[in-house]
Amino acid sequence: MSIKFEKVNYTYDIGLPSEKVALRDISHIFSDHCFTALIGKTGSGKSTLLQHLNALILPTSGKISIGSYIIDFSLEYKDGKVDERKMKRKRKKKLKDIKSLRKKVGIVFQFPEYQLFEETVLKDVMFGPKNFGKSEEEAKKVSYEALKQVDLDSSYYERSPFELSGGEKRRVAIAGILALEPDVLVLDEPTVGLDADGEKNFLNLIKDIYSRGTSIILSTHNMDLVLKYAENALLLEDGKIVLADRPHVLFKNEELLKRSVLRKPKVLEFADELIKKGLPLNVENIFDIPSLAKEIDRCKR
Amino acid sequence: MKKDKELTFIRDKDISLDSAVTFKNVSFFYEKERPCLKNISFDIKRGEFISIIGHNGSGKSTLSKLIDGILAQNEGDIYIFGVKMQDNNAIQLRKDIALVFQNPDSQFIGATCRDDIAFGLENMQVKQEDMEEIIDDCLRKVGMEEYKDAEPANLSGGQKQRIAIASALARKPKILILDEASAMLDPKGKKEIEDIIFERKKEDKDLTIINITHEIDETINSDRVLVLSKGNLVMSDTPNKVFSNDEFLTSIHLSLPFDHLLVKELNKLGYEIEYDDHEGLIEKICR
Amino acid sequence: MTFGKYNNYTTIIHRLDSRIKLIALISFFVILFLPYGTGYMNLVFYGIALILLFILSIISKASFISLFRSLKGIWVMVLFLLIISLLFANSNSGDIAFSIYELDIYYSTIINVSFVLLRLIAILTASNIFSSTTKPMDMTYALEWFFYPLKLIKIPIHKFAMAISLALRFVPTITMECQRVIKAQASRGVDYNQGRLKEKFKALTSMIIPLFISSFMKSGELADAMEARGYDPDSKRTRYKVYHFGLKDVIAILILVIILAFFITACCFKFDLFSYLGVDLPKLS
Repeated sequence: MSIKFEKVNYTYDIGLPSEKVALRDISHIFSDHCFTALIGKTGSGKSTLLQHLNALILPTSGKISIGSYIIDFSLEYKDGKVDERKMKRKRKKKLKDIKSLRKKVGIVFQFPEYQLFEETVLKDVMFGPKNFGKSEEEAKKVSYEALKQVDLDSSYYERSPFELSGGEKRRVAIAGILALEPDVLVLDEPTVGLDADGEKNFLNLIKDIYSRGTSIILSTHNMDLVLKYAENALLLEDGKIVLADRPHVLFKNEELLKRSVLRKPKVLEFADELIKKGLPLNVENIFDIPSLAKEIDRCKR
Repeated sequence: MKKDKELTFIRDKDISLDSAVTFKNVSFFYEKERPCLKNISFDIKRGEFISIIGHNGSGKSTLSKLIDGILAQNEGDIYIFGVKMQDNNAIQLRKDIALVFQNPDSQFIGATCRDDIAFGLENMQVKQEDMEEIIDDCLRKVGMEEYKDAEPANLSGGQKQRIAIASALARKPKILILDEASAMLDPKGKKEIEDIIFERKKEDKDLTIINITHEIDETINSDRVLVLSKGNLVMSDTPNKVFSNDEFLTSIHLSLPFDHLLVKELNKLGYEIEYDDHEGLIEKICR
Repeated sequence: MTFGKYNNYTTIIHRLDSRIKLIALISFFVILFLPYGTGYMNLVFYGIALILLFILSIISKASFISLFRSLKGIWVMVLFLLIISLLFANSNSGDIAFSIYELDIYYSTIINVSFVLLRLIAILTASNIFSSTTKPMDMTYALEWFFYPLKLIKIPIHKFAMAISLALRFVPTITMECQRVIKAQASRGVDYNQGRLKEKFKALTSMIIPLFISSFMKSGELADAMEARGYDPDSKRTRYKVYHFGLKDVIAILILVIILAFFITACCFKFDLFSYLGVDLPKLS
């Protein structure tokens, strides 16, 4: 399922002193089965964009097509000017069947462990599927499957989610979304607060989910992650997309990196130092530490 | 009673004069079967820059609360500058210690930045007329002069943590503990916190800094690294010595710093490289 | 700007000592409940109080238009109540104003209803002025100051004051948390507006439990942070903010005393202006 943004704008608190433009003329296609990383400074609009993906936030203007679901708030003109009255009417209309959309696109928020509330892990994971009209039996079935995907075995089913460790809680929360069997999994800064080991396991989990056919769209500040896992990087700056390309293309653009206060991934920084000393590395082959070592090996031979 | 009070501030003669924090066989548990910290002993010297690392749930945060006397140990003794911590002197001993926590939101106590810094000063019974100067000075140290009247809702996580550090510095601590102070921040925020600490260290040689973290790259510049695993103190050595023990670190779910990981990968490919420092590594690879 | 929210201007009212503003607020409440003789006189004096409050509103830039707009829901209810009391809480003495079919509406009823309405508007306006010109922290300070005598009977006022100010400090934080939980659960298919009662209840728990848990956690962390900064509820603390009584505060007190004296005198003498002037008004009883 692909997601298409056409000239999407979003402004917070319209008409209030705190009014703030968060997205400006965003046009982008998230292709079928993609792994896209949203990057940019805090406050550049990443989180706002993610929430548009399943209509938690509706655009001020613009059109979003999520599979066959269409949210059309594109501007209406009258005598060369925006027809505010018509726009107002458009916005007031209630969206139909928003649940069918939320089932296709699942969002995992930052610190998802804070959304757990049931007495047992299994019940918490079943909560979503049941909301979407699954029967008790069906919900159980998909929940078992989802918990298996996040590597939590049957010994966890009857435990209270609140006695688990931080990393385990986060897995339960993600299972709660996976149990909806979404086509697209959206994650807002998923690795914040995890230790190195937890982060590694978690990213492997996301990679697995991706390889099973689910699209992944995430926002992050972790450039190592972007280089290693993402196929596409989307750089936001003050609500605008300034680059949408492969991570390697982004990390070659020194000026852009500097402007957005982004650090290069450590492997590329290290590679740069070696290149300066005369080692002819091909950065396109470098994604992580093993591939860096291999590239060094290739050059030395 | 009075005599009792005086007694509690006498240095223990077994503890060396330059010790800042000393743990002797300290254990802590909520339930005896599942201790958070087991029989921990170490000695941190005045002016040392110590890093404490461990995976989530290794007991790092418990340790910081024990040093500050917020929690009381079940077994063993804790000494602050050689004075044994007891029920009746914990509040007094705490005056030399400042602690910065992880969550930027839940440690912002005042309504504005200046009120937040003032909170600690009020507790120390600093005279009202002296407060303004201290507040300005501390805001300058963390580069937040322009945000004196800002409210927490309008600050980023990194800015809030800088205020938390300013509030800590306002107490003129001899020991500064950072308990995962930058774990919830973006890279920019992390860098700012790192720079502030570095600056403090340079200006005040006598300040003892204890940085508790799970990010191994943060520990490289410290004088000594203490490694915690499942409530045990498993290592205490210089960063390089600790990192050379890579198999052990991996076994307790800690990853190595970047350079060490690369050396390991190269070794796998048949290169025999030993790690001394970053520049040396670059040289060796290019040779 | 909505009702009761602090607005960041620096008018003379903003700069007044919060204790004076609190006394003034209470004084206006008293004024609005004093009897001034006949129903007509009540109306006149409440009217005067309301005019005073409107003037204060303008001085303090506490917009009362937005005040009335933000209370839209309440006005519908008020209107409903007014109609009910007009029709049914009818006293049956004095002159009849008009009749609807068989029902007689008396002048006394109309007067009664209108001064209830006046009172309501006046109270809202006064509270709005107070809360939009006084920072929450200063309000706490004023409260603490007034309850100071309770300290003598060993009631720990400063602890309550600290608790109130912390609660106020965390309102925005918890609001944000709340929005996040609502969105997270909406992603799991929760619909807060639709569904049967049982589903609604479930939707509510899915929001409240996480909120409670995170609030408890935050309060634990907050307690640690306060302790780490040397807070000891039982020991003495100095105060960063000192409130100096300035000339403007003295003048404000003077004006307040004059206003109070005027109304209290009027209340004591129950002077009937209309009969003095010989104006013939419909009888109320």
